[in-house]
Amino acid sequence: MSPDHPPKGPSSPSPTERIARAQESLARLEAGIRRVYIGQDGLLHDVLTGLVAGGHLLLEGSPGLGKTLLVKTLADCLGLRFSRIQFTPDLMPADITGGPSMVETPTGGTALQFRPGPVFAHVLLADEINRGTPKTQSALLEAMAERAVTVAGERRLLEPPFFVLATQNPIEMEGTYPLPEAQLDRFMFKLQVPFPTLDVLKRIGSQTTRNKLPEAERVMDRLELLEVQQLAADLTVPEHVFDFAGRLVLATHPESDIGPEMVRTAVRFGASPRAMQALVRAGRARALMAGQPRVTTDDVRAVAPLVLTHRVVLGFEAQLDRIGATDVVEAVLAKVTG
Amino acid sequence: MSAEDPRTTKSVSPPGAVGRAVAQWMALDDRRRSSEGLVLWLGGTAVWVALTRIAAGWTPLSLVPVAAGSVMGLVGLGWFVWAGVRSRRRDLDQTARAVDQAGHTRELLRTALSIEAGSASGDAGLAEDTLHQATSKLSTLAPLADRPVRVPPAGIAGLVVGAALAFVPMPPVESIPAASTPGTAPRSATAPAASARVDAPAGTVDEAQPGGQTTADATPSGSGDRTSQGGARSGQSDGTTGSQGQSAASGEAVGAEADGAASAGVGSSGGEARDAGTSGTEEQGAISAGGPSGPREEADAADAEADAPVASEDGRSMSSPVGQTAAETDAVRSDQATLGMSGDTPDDQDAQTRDVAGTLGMPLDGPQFFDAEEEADGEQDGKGGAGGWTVGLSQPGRGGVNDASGSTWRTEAGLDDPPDWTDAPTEWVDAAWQDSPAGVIRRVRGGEAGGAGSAAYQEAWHRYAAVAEADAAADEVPAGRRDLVRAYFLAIAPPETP
Repeated sequence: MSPDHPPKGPSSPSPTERIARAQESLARLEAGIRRVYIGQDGLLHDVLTGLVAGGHLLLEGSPGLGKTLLVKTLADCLGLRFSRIQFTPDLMPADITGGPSMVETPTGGTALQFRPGPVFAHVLLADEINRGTPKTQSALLEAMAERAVTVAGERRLLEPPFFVLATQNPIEMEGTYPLPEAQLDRFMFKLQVPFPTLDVLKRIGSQTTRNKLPEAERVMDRLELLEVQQLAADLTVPEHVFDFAGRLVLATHPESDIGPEMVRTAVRFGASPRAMQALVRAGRARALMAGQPRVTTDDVRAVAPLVLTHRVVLGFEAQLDRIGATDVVEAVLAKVTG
Repeated sequence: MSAEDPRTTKSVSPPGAVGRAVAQWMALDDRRRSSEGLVLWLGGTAVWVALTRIAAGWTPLSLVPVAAGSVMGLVGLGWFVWAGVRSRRRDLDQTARAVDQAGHTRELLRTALSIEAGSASGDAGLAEDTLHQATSKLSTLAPLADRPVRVPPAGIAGLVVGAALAFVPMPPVESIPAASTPGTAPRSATAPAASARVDAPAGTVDEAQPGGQTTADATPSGSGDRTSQGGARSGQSDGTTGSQGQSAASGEAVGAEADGAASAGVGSSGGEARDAGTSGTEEQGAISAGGPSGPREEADAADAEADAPVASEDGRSMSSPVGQTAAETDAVRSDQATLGMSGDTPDDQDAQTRDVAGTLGMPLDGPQFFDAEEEADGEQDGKGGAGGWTVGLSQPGRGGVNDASGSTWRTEAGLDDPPDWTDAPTEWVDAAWQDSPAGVIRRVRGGEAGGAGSAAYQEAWHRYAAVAEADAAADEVPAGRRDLVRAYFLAIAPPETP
């Protein structure tokens, strides 16, 4: 055993108690979000999993499905600093990161002072991120990967937690700039926002058309969220789970011999080692949300489609054969699971 | 359910309680798998042994169940070996995985094993908690209860079938060694020796050993035990007539100074039964008197060659005999083929003609016809007169001889009377014979004891001689060959044939 942390003292709560408390906090958070955000149970669970795992999420869905509302509600319930960036083609990187600006000093003079951009927040909503130019999109790369921003040669750390939720509209392709693979790889999950069912639509109609809309309440603070994230990172991951996750990643590569035949014909590039990290972290978060002190292969298998789908780059033959990334990941899971 | 490749999972030997328990379960599981494979193997082997016993005749049809039993036995053996190999390939992790799956413990034991081995990642407190859970769970897990020893139904079925088949009596099919293919058999081929064991005075046959040595224990009435072993041995042919060979071939157990003592079954007459007496090899067939009153006699080695069926016409040249049904004719021809009476090449036939004619003292310049007067006169000296031929033809050579009438028997030394096997029990049986078109021939069993004097042999001789005589009379048969046919049958005639 390689303990990552020293054993807790006698007064420290037991692992079981810590897990129970984390579960209780997450349950409160979910209930708080549901007061405002109606339906989309699966999407909400996946978003919370990404939040606990400390990853960034890319939400893809048609307009009007409540993507922005979900992120805004999440931030309100957590009492975190929330920023929203509406990506447009004329959006500049400095509009995201911030930059030096001329300010008047108390002595009457002027000086350059760094003015933080919207990226300096706990929860950042990058709305319609694919409408921004690649140059602007790349402004998020450092922040998402290193949780830091370098402006004018000065590196500034972002206060944890830093949680980016980006949305993109898949049906309007004109005037959009698809995200480069490097940026896609920085999103832990890519979540599809499904269209609500009839029951959900009826509830939306009955609860959101009155003058007084339900408001989100703060049910969980920042430190509590950080503790939950830390607890998730402390969960036990046995060797065979690492083995399973690694095989999943390798199986997405066309040159690997452990993947299915579909990968060799339809995939140009497979998942990166960052996908391996995402699989384990997301597996840990899922195990914690289930109240388990250890991660199993079932946890990794459950999050694998969310982690791998947007990391698999398909080739031209896949388009001809109408093979999607989801099909590839399903084949990989079937092959590796055996 | 875990899905990773077991080959990539390290085999660990954890010192903890979980590791010890899993190791114990692994050993139990190995024994379980081996037991299952062993039962299956035993079942297949039982079926194979039983079927092999039943199908001892080795007819083509019997090969099917024998092959099926063999396959089943091999499958069982393969299962057994595979189980052993697989158990050696498995490690603690795989065993823990199986127990986790059976116990629905969500990989608790596997995780505990990884923690004990130090290959897990995570907080120490949480790891201890996981170990505690696993240790507590050990007492509630019963892998053998979840995976009890299940005897393979196929193995049980094999054992039952094998046991049931053990009570099935063996069919009355004798195994006869395959004769040389007619026309291709070398003349020097050693005739397979028929084994005849005569315990009763009348002489009965206990068993026939294909291709084995002849063992004939003959006990004449009131004369104690007489044992004659006439093994077919290599030796030089001295031109002994076929009647001698045939006489021995019919199971004559006297053996004492009898030429062609090499015993051969009726169906084995196609070859030559040779004794090595002339070359100095001592005849094994010694007559011993084991009884209290019987004198002990030793038979000298008979150095003669039984060259029985050398002169026969190809069945194709014979016309259908008058009075014979087609079925009978076919049966006879089948037996003729068995006897090596067909298939010889013209050169072989010429050589055989010369051999037989020379042996019998027949002139080669013309046919010899059956002379009734000489037959009536009898008194052949057994040296092969050039005149007519009678049944009970004297046997030239150093063996026992009959007088011309065949009514008496004496040895060359005149010391002994021939045994009377006329009433020896004989029976007709079907015997597998791969060279026969039907695969089966009719064979006289017990004739070995009765010899040429047995009733069954006489019946067969009369039956075949009539057909041969009718066929030989056909115009298509050369005149010179007709006598060969006649000479052949006369040579193998029973002694009392008029």
